[in-house]
Amino acid sequence: MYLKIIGFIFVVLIVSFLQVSFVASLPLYFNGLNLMLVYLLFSLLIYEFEITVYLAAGLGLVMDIYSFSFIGSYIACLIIGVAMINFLQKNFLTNRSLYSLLALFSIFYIYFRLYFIVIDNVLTTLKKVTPNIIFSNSYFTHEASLLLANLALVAVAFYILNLTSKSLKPTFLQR
Amino acid sequence: MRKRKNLTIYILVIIIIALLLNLPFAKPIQSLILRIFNPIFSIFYKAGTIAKVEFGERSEKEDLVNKISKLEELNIQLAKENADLKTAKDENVFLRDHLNFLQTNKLEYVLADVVSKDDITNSSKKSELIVINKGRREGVVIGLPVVSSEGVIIGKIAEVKDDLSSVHLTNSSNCKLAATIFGQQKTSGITEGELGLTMKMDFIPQGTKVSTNDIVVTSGLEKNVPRGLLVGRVLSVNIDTNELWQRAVIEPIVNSEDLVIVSILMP
Repeated sequence: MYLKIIGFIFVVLIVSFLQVSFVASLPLYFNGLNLMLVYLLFSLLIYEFEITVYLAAGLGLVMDIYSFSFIGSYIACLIIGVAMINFLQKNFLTNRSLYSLLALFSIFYIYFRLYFIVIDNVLTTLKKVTPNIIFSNSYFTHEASLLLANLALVAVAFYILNLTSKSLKPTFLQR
Repeated sequence: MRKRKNLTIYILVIIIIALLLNLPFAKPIQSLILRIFNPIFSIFYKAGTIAKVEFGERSEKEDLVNKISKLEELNIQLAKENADLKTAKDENVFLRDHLNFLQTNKLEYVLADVVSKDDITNSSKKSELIVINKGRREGVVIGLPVVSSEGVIIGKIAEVKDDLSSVHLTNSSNCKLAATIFGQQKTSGITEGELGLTMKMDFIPQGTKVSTNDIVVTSGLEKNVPRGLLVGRVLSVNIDTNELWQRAVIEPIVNSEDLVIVSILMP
């Protein structure tokens, strides 16, 4: 039990290090990869919902400490996101196919971006500085390309997991 | 049912911890976490930068051939300019010695490692913000200039924590610098980042002659920012005869994507 907790803490830290420092320094499109969301999506499918919520809280806490917005914004974002994805996975996109996984990730990713667009707008209004995001054609094209890059990562991770373990194998009910 | 109840309690505990971490008494805990993790974040950042440079080197080889021929032309032009400047430098040294006109500036600085780039929420193609591992504890305050290893100003401190600061790069619209364009005529103004790519200087009188490749340096008319720090080079000038003013587009000299170590100039 304790070993499992230590293991999860270790993985959360590694994902945070990779997300904050490694991915951020990579070239264009690679630097838009969101390892946190990919990790949380797969952990939701592999582990229980409760464990994923704790992982989301851990990841959120490290991200909050390294961000300059108020502490709690990442924690809240990730926990709400995981709860939303869990609801969709349990009620609508129930099979564990690649397509439902991609659909779930797209929803998770779009929610994440929208959440921080709102936070960014609130903070820039309060601080009276220029907003980081300017909505234009190139912004939406860029956002779409980042989503595609992330979906490619999800697809690769899905096939790797399917090759190496049975945890994501689809299940069929027999009449 | 019991499991759900426990989960709700745990989430509430997490939210309370998060709220408490915003309070002043929790700053030492945050600082401790940052001090423990900062070296690891630096290592990961350097690893990423090395990977990027390797990747970039391969794809840029083809472009290099074209660049070399252009640079050779520029080199001849610069050599000529250099000769003129050396003459001016000798004259300058002579005058300084005799008039004791200026004292050489000895700038105080703090070295910092870049630990992250941009907020994950930023999705512009070019970086407009970097995070460095020095903060309030080292005396860093908002507005201090940050320079590259070559002494080129790359941005200003935007936000400060005890052991962490964010820097708005010069290409960010949130970074404004008092600067001077050294061309045939000297003109001063405020540079401001534009679209995360370049900088602009507005309100240059129509009569002032500004040309491409003119050098832009800080004017020293701003608190904590010394005079003479290299900002960039004029990329283009928008002259509209119907307007009262002209606008210069300035290109940063340092590639902010490759920054790993920077210096903060202290007041």
